[in-house]
Amino acid sequence: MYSSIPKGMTDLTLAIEKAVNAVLTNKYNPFYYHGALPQFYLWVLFLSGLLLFAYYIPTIDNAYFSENLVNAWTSVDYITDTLPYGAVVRAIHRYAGDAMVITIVLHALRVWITDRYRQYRWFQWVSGIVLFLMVMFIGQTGYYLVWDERSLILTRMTSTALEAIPFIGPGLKTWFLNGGAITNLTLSNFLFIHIGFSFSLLFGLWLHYVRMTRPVITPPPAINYMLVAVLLVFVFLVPVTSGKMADINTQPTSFEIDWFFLWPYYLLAHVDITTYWVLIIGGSVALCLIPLPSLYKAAHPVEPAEVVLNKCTGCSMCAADCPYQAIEMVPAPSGSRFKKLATVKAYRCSGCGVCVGACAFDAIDLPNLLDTDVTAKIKALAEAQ
Amino acid sequence: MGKGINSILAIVGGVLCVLITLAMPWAELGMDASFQNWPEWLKWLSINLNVPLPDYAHMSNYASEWTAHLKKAGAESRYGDYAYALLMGLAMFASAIGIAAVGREEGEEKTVLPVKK
Amino acid sequence: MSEKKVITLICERAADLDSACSASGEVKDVEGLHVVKLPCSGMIQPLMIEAALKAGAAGVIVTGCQIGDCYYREGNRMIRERLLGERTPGLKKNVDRRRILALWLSRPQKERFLSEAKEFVNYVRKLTD
Repeated sequence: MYSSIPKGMTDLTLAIEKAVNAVLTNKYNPFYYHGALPQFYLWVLFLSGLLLFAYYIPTIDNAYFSENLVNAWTSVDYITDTLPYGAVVRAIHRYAGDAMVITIVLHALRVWITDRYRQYRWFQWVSGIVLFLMVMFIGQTGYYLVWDERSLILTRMTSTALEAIPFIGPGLKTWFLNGGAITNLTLSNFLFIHIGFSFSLLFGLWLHYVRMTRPVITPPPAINYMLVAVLLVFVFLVPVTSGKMADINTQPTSFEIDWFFLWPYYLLAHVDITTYWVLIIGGSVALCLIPLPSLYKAAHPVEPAEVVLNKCTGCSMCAADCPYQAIEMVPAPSGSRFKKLATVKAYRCSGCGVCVGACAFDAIDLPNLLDTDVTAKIKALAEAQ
Repeated sequence: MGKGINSILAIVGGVLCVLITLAMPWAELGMDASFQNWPEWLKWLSINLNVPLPDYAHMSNYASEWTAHLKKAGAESRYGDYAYALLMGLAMFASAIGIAAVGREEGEEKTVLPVKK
Repeated sequence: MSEKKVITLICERAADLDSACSASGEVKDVEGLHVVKLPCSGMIQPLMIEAALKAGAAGVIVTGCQIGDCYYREGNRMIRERLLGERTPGLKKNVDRRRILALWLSRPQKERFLSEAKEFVNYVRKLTD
């Protein structure tokens, strides 16, 4: 069972969830939609981002301060101060990003505490880590786009850090700045990274979901309302503002840190660059290795379900019910009375036995727990007086 | 909790949602809207259908408090927008309570099978 | 003569009955209540429930995790739908529905299971056809 996790922690989580059930009932318990919460915030980000994109101008052209100056900072300023509800949309975009990071971390924690991240689930865990890293980077590019003094410091810190990587460093820096130095082209590159990567999240999410049948990606409406309401309350409580406009001829040195997205920069400011990259890359790899089988000697191994070939009628009920897309219906061999035959993809199978429950013909079995044995045991127990 | 509490929650949520929503035009107009500043459709409603609407002009106490908070937090203009967002958020909270009360299913820990006749 | 048996088909991740059971799988507090563990409540076939009742059991208690919290994602929902006749394969028409109870309890909810089970066992033993 939950062998690799401290028992108290799992029990505590289950107890908290039960307490939430008592108030909200199971149907509206946000813990049961923990994966759908960041997905919902992603839609909020796409929509609010689209509205911001309509008014955003990706240039740094601030060499001549004139009244008609148009650059990234002034366009953000225009969105915030002049456009009807521009400030609200901007703040929603900011806080939905923060909320997405929080919900992703909660999602990962719950998945870890309830032991739902390894064996047949390793692929979801690893793709989840990659998605999280992508979300972090996308969020950081969002902070460059505002083009206030903080953006300038962050851009310089990033390009220095990238340049320090052996062999590919200078190339990465050129890619990042879209040239050798910060120019107008830099911001259009940032905008492209910000939006392009966001859409590539969808591809990553497809990989994240592909092994699951009926993935839970939409919370019920009442929870959605709550999620948006939280954002709107924060829009009022903590209005989003920009710092001073960036001027590439100056050397600003300090900035206000956003702990959801900018914590790597805190690290970068306090350790040397080599240590920074070792920590970041090492940490990511270590997170990906958490589901490694050799770390869990006590865990009981998965024994994939097996189809009883001469009993399978090809009715597809097991394939429909399998929660991990592990059963594929293939054409039956010639000479069979039926059209289709169920086959198990062992690498996806969790050994849960849902297919056994779905089969009305006793045609699929867990090798370590035959349904005939279970039925015989039940009969023996019921008959003993 | 029984059906009674559910319906009470649903009604409370619904009423709260409507009440908070009524304050939105006030926020939309910069939080101290007098009648001549109202949007045309709202004026029309008030005159032609004789709908009694709250006297937004008298809510200016809140307006000064909320504006003071927003100024302190760094917002520079269009304070009404922020207030509108807050009211929208509160209305959504209230409606979420209402929706959840209507949609919730009791007895989730126990299923007794219905006996077929 | 001892009373008729009641069988519990239980998910091994649902209410933890290990401390309440004797080595043979009989619940100590409730005489004649036997536990059969499965990896997931979704593995329970309606045929198994029918077999138990046919073999002379007084009743069957199906126990899974809290609805919404299946380790294997959907198992408890599926057996609930099967019991309610909303998903195939379901129970046969002539099966006595009064003799089947389904509980959805998370691992720490042993006490809730025992109290519900006692009540159910007393109820089914008094039933006459």
